[in-house]
Amino acid sequence: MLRLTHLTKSFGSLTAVNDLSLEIQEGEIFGFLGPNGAGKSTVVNMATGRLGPDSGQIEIGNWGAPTQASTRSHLGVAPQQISLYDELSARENLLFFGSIYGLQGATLQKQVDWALEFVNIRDRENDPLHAFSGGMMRRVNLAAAILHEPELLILDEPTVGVDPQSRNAILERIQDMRHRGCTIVYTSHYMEEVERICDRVGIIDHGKLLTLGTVEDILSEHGQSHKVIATTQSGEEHFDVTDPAEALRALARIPELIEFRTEKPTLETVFLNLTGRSLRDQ
Amino acid sequence: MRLIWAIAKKDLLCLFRDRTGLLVILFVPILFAVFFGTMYSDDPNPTIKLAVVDEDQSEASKSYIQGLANDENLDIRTLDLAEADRAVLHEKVLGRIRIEKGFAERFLKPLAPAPPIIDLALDPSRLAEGSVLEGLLTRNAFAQADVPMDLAPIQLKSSDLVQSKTSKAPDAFELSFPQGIVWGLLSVVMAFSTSLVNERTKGTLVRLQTAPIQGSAVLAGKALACFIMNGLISAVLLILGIVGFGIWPTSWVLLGLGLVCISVAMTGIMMLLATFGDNERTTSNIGWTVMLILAMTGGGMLPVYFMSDWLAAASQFSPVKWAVISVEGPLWRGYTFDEMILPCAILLSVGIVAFAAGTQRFRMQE
Repeated sequence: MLRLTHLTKSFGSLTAVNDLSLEIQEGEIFGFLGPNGAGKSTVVNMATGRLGPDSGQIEIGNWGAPTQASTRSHLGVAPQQISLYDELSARENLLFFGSIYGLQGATLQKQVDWALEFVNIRDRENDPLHAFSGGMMRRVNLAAAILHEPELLILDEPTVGVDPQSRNAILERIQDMRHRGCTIVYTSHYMEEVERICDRVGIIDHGKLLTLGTVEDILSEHGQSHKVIATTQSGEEHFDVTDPAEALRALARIPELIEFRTEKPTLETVFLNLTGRSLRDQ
Repeated sequence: MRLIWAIAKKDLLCLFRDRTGLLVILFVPILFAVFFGTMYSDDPNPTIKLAVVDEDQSEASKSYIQGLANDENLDIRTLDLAEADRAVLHEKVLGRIRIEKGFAERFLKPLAPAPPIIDLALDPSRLAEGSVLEGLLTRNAFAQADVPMDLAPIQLKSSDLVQSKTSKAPDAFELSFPQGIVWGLLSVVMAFSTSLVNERTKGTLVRLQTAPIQGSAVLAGKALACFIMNGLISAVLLILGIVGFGIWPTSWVLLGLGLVCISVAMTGIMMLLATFGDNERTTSNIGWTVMLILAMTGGGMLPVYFMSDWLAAASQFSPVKWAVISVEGPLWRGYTFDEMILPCAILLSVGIVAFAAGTQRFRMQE
């Protein structure tokens, strides 16, 4: 659905994206991860047609490059910032964005009704947006991206700053969109979200793709061994183990053992291992 | 007190960090001081421009005209009647005098039944200066008498120039409404000039840029909204003027043409202003400063005839001046289509050039 082939993009002396190739399959939810300044936003901007690459190619389905307006009609984008007119109501916002995507008349009204229902805003559809909570605004932000039922949906951190209920609702709606046949590119800094909904994940840093695969593949390829944490009267002890049976035998030999727990490697630990622990936005 | 000081310190710090805002705070009062200072000090007694029509062509009339020409307070140009009337209507001169046939038989002739009549027509928007001109005309007539005279050697008959051309003279509201309309349109420009930067800061521009429309369509849409709002504001003010104050244009078609041209110019200026500044406050500051300069130099705050020669010459470059003319012309100056061509052409050119420059700047910024 989305093919990025040998993409390179520089800003002055900084190479933001360096010979990056990636293919996102139809109907999958693809998690696109990277620390701040890794080149993720540049890739998203190129994939949405806002930026042209210095070299390489981007194709969306069989429709061509996203720099062509006609190609972008198959694309839905929910920017990280809530990109709505807060003087207008939720319905008025969606009517405007629907018309921008070529919807009109009864079709436009029907799609707006559907999108409002989809994100559960119908009962507040005529309220001005500035009266909405952060979570409601995020849901309208998502509705504006999906109301024309795009084949490819690019969601840039769509759950930033919302409460767990709204986050859960948004994640469920994203999965619903996949079930409707939509391909989704999902960027987030919340690794547990990515683990929950993404079929495949790509981690980018310094403009290059570091790893690509399912969460399980990435964990088995880059994840460290299981960790066993034993609590004794003298404190906690940490053991990296590869064989759980051997770990249990070792624990049994600790006489003052009070309790123990195991920790699986997570996407977050893999992410930190691959991209380092130094701060990126300084 | 410590908390109050902390808040005050923060506000001052924010203000000083906004360099454009700070510049405006400093620049605007300096601009006002220089502008009004120049007006008051450059030429405290500005020369009055007067067109003279000599239908008598006698020694007496020529002598009287020569006397006027020698007066340092007057700038005389001798024209035929049609040219003189046009000069008044185009604000080239304050007024015109018409020395009718038979002037010589009555001028400074003690035995004549009455002094000669001089027909004086003034620009209706400058009637306040008329009494000064009348005084100068009478003083020059007295100056040519060999002996002291009890009665004035000339009779001034005020005639209404516009009345003869358009069957009515403008009232005070017809004189004031053109500037009102232009200020209304300047306000529309300011309201719309921040909308583009709003789209950018609110992130809605990202959504528009990723939608299946061209960037030029986004800009054109904004320009159209500004143009429509200009039309609405003009219409509301005109309806108010007609219903509430009895104004009535000499030509509806030409007034419509003038307003369309002003709207084009204002829309172009809006597009250009919208590309300056990266937040709403900066764009607004820059916009109001530019608008003040255009309004000041274009006669939007004080009439051009109060300005010194160099400021009056500079006013030619202000679209506000041509905007006022484009409304005044068909509203009460009785402009013909030919006379509307110049102001309309200038306004259209300003609009197109500013729109193109704004579009180019926007594309470069993106």
